[in-house]
Amino acid sequence: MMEMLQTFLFYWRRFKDLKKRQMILQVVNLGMLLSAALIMYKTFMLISNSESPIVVVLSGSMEPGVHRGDLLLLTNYDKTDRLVSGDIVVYKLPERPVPIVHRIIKIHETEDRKIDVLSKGDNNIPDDRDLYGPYRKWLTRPMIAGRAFAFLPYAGMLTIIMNDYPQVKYVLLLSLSLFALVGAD
Amino acid sequence: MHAIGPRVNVFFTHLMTMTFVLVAIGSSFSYMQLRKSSPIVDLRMSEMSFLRQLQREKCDQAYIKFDLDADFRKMWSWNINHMYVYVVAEYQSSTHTRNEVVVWDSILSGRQDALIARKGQYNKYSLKDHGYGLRNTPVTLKFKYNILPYMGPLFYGEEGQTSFNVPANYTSRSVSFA
Repeated sequence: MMEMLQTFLFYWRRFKDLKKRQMILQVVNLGMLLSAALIMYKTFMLISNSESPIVVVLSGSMEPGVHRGDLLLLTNYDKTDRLVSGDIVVYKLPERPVPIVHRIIKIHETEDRKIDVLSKGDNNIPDDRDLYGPYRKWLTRPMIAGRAFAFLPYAGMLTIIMNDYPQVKYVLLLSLSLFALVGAD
Repeated sequence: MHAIGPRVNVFFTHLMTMTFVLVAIGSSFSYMQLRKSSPIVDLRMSEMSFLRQLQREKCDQAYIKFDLDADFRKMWSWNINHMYVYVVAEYQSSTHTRNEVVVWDSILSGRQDALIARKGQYNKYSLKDHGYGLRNTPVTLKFKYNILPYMGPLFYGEEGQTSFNVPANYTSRSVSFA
């Protein structure tokens, strides 16, 4: 009788142990997935030389060509690739955290390759000078995060939805991590 | 092993990959197509309405008129969603070696817009310099276009240009270049 109980306990422990190991394995797998995504993004950053190589358009100021939720791919080769008028660029103002996707309509370059840039959204009537604030007339090179070279429609729609409805973000994150942890192989 | 979860997962992963491959193949074909074609463009400087100093903004300002004929009907291909067309004034001044000022732009939203015929078209954005560097400067007007595709790489092109000399003195009278 005693012996039977001991063998049962032995197997029970092994089972519990196994569960624990599997659990750890799942957590590690999740970590691998996340770090792979991070490495991919960082690799894009390295290749494009831009701090934000993929940008989701958040406003309709570039309609009708570029819509809310479209995805833009950026490069930022500031040494070799000169910005020209007509380029779609993404810029960040020091006072504003949100990057803006607009088009260059004026560019003035000095002999030592310093540039002053004025931008405008295709769908806006005035240029962006009012956005720059009262003491700034021009954008300079460091404010420009990159120029768009390719376009994927609707690919950033999920970001837009998650931005507009934060609940969706939490539900999605929770269910994704739950699936990754307890999901069957 | 073959529960519903992994099946759905594999299905959507496969779908995503295939969509990306299709987009890549399709857009690179259309890109090569665009590189081979070009529009028929005739751009002529018509007149400068005035050249003046703006005291408040500390810069020179000129109003110009130009004639533009552009025909995109032949090159309008399946992957063109919209086209941003613009006229740029390019010049050198004493302070800046490269100045590019967009003076007019428009968006073509389909094949029905692909023919542009403007006579005596005023600038949409006046020709303003960075400072007081417009007088007695040779300026080149260039017609350029940026194609916004349904998907894939953006395409930039230019075709057609015309040159003129900005008068040596400020003037409120129009100067004809026709």
